[in-house]
Amino acid sequence: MNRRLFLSTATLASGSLMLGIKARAQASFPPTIDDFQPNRLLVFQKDGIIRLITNKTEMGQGTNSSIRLLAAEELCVPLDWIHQEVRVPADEGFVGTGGSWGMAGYYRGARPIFATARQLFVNAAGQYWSVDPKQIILEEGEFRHPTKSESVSYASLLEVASKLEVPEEAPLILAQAFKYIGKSHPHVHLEAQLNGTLPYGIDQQCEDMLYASIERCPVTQGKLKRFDSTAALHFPGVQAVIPLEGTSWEAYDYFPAGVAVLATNTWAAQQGRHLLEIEWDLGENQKLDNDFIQRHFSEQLDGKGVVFHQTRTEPNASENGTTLTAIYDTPFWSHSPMEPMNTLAAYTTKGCELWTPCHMQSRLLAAVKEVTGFSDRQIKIHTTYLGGSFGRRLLVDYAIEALLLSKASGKPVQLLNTRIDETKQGHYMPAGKYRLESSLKDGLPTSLKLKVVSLSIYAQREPEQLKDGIDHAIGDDFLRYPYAIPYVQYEQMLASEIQIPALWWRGTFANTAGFVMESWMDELAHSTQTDPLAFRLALLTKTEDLVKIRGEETMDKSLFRGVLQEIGRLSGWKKKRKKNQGRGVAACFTFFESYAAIVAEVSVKGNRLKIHKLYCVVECGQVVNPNLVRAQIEGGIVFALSAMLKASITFEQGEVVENSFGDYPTLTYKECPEIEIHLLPSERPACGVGELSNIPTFAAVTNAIFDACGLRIRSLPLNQYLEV
Amino acid sequence: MPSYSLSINGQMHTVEAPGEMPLLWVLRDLLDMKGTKYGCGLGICGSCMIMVEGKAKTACLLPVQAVGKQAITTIEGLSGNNDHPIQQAWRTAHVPQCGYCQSGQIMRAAALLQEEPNPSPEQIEAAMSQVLCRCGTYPRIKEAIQSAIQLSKKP
Repeated sequence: MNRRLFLSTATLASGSLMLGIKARAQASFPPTIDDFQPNRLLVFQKDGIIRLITNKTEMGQGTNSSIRLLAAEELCVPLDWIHQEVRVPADEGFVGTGGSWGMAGYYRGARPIFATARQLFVNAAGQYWSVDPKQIILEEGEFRHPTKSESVSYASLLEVASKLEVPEEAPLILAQAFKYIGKSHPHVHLEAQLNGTLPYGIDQQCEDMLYASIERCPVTQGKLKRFDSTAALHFPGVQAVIPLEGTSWEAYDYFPAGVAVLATNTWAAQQGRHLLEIEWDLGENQKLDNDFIQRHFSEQLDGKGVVFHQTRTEPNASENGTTLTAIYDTPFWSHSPMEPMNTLAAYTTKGCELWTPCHMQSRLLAAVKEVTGFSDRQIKIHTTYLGGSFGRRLLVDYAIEALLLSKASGKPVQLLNTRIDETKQGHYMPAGKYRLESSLKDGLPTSLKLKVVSLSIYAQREPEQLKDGIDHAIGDDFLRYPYAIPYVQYEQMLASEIQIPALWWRGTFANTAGFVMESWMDELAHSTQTDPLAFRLALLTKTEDLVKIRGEETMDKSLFRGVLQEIGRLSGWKKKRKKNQGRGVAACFTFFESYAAIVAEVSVKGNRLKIHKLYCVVECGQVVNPNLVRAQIEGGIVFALSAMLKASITFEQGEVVENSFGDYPTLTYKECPEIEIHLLPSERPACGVGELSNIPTFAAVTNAIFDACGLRIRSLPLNQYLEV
Repeated sequence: MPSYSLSINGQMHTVEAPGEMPLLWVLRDLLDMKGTKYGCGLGICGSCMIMVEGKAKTACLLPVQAVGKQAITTIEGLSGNNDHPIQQAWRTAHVPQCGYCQSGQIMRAAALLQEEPNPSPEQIEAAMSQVLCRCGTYPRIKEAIQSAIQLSKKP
């Protein structure tokens, strides 16, 4: 097929979009089949509708909304012919959403599948007219041939196509010819989000259901000694009180022991909880408080860890000029999506059904099988729309609790966590402590020795992922800063003694590695009286551009340089600062192959910090849907600011101190700075953006604070030092 | 169990509930109006923002016995056709991400413009800072409010 045929630049008139098909002569032979599915993603119907089956879970990022653009593009059809069907079959291979790879994966994996489907229908048109398929022209869903007056559609070719073999390969539409990719389109759920009709997990209902709320043991691994439910059972609407044993600490979806109140409405269940009298055996983890954790981290930093990255042998001390050392630390953070964890579960002896806002469906299925002993066919899992996740809904603890309550009560049960449960009994972004030491000579760093101690998610939940005792999830993000420093040695220690449930959290260790590494570059730059942006660029020119991270992963230094150069231009980096004002820069590369740089503009007057504006430059390969890419960039920045300004999860006698958004504050409308985003054009395939802009936000802001007032922030959140 | 007659979105509804039960749960669990969301139950996050006699209130802190004859408006009753100026502006600016807080954001913004068609930046900040969003839609809310103010001015 001549790809030139697809180089149509005509924009779609809204009229033709509405009608779907242009008013011109159509070949009219009715297909004898209703629909035809040439591959796992597409079903062509005889009424012209093309059903697109995707399996990404929607939690605000809108991946499915953008996959639709890929299908319309490759099939050369109007966008409204594509009817999206999101199916998340938990039992079809691995189904889950995460790692910012949704769109990147479909961009690489699905477009060739769409293209072969298009080629199949082109071949069918060739066969129908007995002409060479190479002469077929396809535009806006119509197949034509120079010698024919009529045109045929996908729908009218169903029968012919269904008898042909699907080609193994087909050319992809060239980027220059894109009509949909690269242009902004809305979320498919937008209308339902505007009038409150989009059903989330919390909105699910079924006949005869009860509402549940669980009072859980406040200390990890504590046990239930005894409880008295008399008063709770007298509360109007309360139907039952059921104890839950909790899982072992090692369980993948760890949850603590608890006592559940089941009632005819949510409020009665929550009120009933206050009337429970419970005695816990709080156990050993009562020792966990902030001092204990910090002492443990410090002791580990003083000891010997495992070296996970090292370049040539250490230079002798005489080679070194000045030496700089510092300690950084980062707190525990909670995910706190706006929709609290919940699940509606209906258990019978014949099987079970769950309506749950979770995005690791395969994990949920495995967990349900383990708990019930049911086979795949006896388990039905419905994925609802998710009111945010930020990593929390990778786990399915709340779904299993709901299921156990349904089994024990013999009724469908909707479990809903309160906000206080969310804050106090989460699985948290792990805290960490970091020791850095660098030598400098002639204005350039000659060495960087780093020690990092952190709780390890893998050590807690998937120890088989540790390789020679190394948690690469903690380590790898330190390798993604390609500055030329002749000697580096990175060491890690896993704080396995601290039994606080740890979990992936929008960017996880990339956030903290970014904070530490990009702050340190700033410290080194200032110690040599060099402009921090110029200092970075000077360290990015020495060697070859392609840098191996680990395994297949490669970073392109020229793109890292590119985002830094562009952020300098966009932010007017060299503009004079006014009194009390400061600018800070930071950049990052991520495992989902995107690059970003941020400049923050702040002012510090007295002790009062104001963040005025953040500039962000992104190189994320082909931008599929700029509207949603920008939304993710805005979201990442707000997420990081929310964490770094005032939020931290702290512990007293093994219990989380914070309760809700009052003492675990999230950024508010008036605190949100202006954000200006520039997406760089790219010839690379689409890469991830969901966990990108948060990474450089931390150090960009703290570096700006240093620039404004000379205060070096090495510990978060900021409200320990400044009024924010 | 006491019985309450409530005027919600221009219609009368009768419910039997304990007097202390917050209107949020009356709406959601007794009247099956799920558009108003639970976020914190403490009046901090604003996900459950509704209008009581045109004024923004968090439904999670409003006991049903305190409602009396006051007219309640929820997201379901804001407009017949998703065409309230706030909804139009929200659509144009592509505000929602996960959307969970957006019923509250939209109701807060609608109440603001109803009370003050030409709000100052400080009034906008004071009102919209009552509704939290974890996805980071604030920059787009800011843009949308400005266009809603313009839309509302049109005859």
